[in-house]
Amino acid sequence: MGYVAVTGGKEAISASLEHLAYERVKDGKLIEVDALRSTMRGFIDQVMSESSLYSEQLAALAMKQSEGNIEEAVFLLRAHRSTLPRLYYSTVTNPREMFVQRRISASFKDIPGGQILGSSPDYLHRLLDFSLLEETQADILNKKFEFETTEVPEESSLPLEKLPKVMDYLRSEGLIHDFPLNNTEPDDVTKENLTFPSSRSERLQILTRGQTGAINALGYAGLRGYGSSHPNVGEVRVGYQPIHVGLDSDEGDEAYYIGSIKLTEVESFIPMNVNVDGKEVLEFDIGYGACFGQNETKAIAMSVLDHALENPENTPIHDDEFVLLHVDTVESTGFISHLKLPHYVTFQSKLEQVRKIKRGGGVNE
Amino acid sequence: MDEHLTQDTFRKILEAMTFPGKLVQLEQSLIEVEPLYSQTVLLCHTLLDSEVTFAVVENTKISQSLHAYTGSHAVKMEEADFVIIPQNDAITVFSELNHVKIGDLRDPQKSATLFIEVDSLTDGKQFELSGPGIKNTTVIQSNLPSEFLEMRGMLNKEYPLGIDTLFIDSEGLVLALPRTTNVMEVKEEWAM
Repeated sequence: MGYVAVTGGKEAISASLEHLAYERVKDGKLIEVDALRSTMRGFIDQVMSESSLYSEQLAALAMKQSEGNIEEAVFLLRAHRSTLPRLYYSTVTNPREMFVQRRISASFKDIPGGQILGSSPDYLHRLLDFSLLEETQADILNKKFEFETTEVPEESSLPLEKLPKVMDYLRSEGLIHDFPLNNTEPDDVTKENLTFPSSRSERLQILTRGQTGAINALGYAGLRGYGSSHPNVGEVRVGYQPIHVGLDSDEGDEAYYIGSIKLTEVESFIPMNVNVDGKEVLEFDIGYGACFGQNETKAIAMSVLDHALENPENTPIHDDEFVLLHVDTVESTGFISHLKLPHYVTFQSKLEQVRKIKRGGGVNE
Repeated sequence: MDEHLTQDTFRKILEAMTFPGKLVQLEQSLIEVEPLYSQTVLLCHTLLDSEVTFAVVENTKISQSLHAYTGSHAVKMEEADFVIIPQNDAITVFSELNHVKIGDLRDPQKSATLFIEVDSLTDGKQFELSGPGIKNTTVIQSNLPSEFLEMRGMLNKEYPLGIDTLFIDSEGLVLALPRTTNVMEVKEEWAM
């Protein structure tokens, strides 16, 4: 038996597709896209971040269509993204202008502007809430009403739109280097093939759209000893980042506000031994992480990897080829999934080799 | 511009590129940019956007209109992804083409695609085409200027580097000469 032709596949495949379509409706339940959008924040933020397409509605649609399968949802959104025309580019946006909803520092207790806990699952007691099994629409409206009728101050005493950065404090003490602004046009990993050594803009783009689990795993490995970037979280901020587009140069430098995106930004402080005038001095370096939505673990892991890749060493976590080529959702799931495609011929040839060896001959007999 | 019209046009360009020498009839464009043929404008609408650049040979007025309609930026010919040669300029400008992008060995796709307006793709000298997409050979009739064919031969001599060309005639017919197509002028034979 040398070769098995693939026959009858077409009908089998269309039957399989029907089966899949049936799975989604077989219990006769409806979930509206809008309900997913407003109740599945975590899923939507993760999917928007990994697909690098900021649309809560489309992420919710992808969730519905893929029955909640994240890798499928990301694939759908990446595919959709590739069909969209690029009409404008946004101007540079500065997270110092973020409308902050949450901002914490693990490095200093008393930070200028204060620790703002915002909303986070961090402080939860992780027990299943069985009352949600019985929750009704009326319960939801009651809870909503209760929250919304609670007395709160009209205005915040904090400058939420111009919150100072924790990093500025260290910088003012001369513990962090000042770096000149780097205004080179970023490379676009969605348009050009990645080549090595990679540029910082390429690294940050690939990390921010990387698979959450993969980024977390590699960041964790880096912390546990497969890297030498052990950070202190200087600042995690989550909030709404205003985005502007600039119109053509003939019309001046006017930029128009087009909306805000939810963003997580992390600046990690990483102690480094620096050689100053022949003496080893301890200073702090910065690792940077940022991603769409509220994905704090991912952004922190990204900051570890950003710093590790800025400082190449002889471990996988400090190797840009190792990290960047393996963290993308579509690339990794795509390559692994392709193993399910017919490999009958390749396998037959391997089998033939093994049989020959068992018969006592060499491979290249 | 109507999205379905440009999608339909894209399929037709693909058809023309797949079968070099095949004449494909394009629709009228919804917007005119004088003095370009309507179908040349439609090609521009289909293929140009702010992600690519173009150059129009010696005509800044056309460049401004195309930029306004497509968002694509006009650049020098040696940097342009698309080079547009309006009908009237056709003969004189081919010597300027020696600087158009032909890509490099790692990225041969980073080369120019030419839109060249000609009088007719159904009348004129005979050329025999061969290469991928053509079973044996095919013959086209057109007043393709020999200056262009010489220039093309020079730009395409080191495959995979080279240029791809779309010809548009006054009837709105389109014919593609990808870089892989060999073109030979058919010398008239005297019947003995």
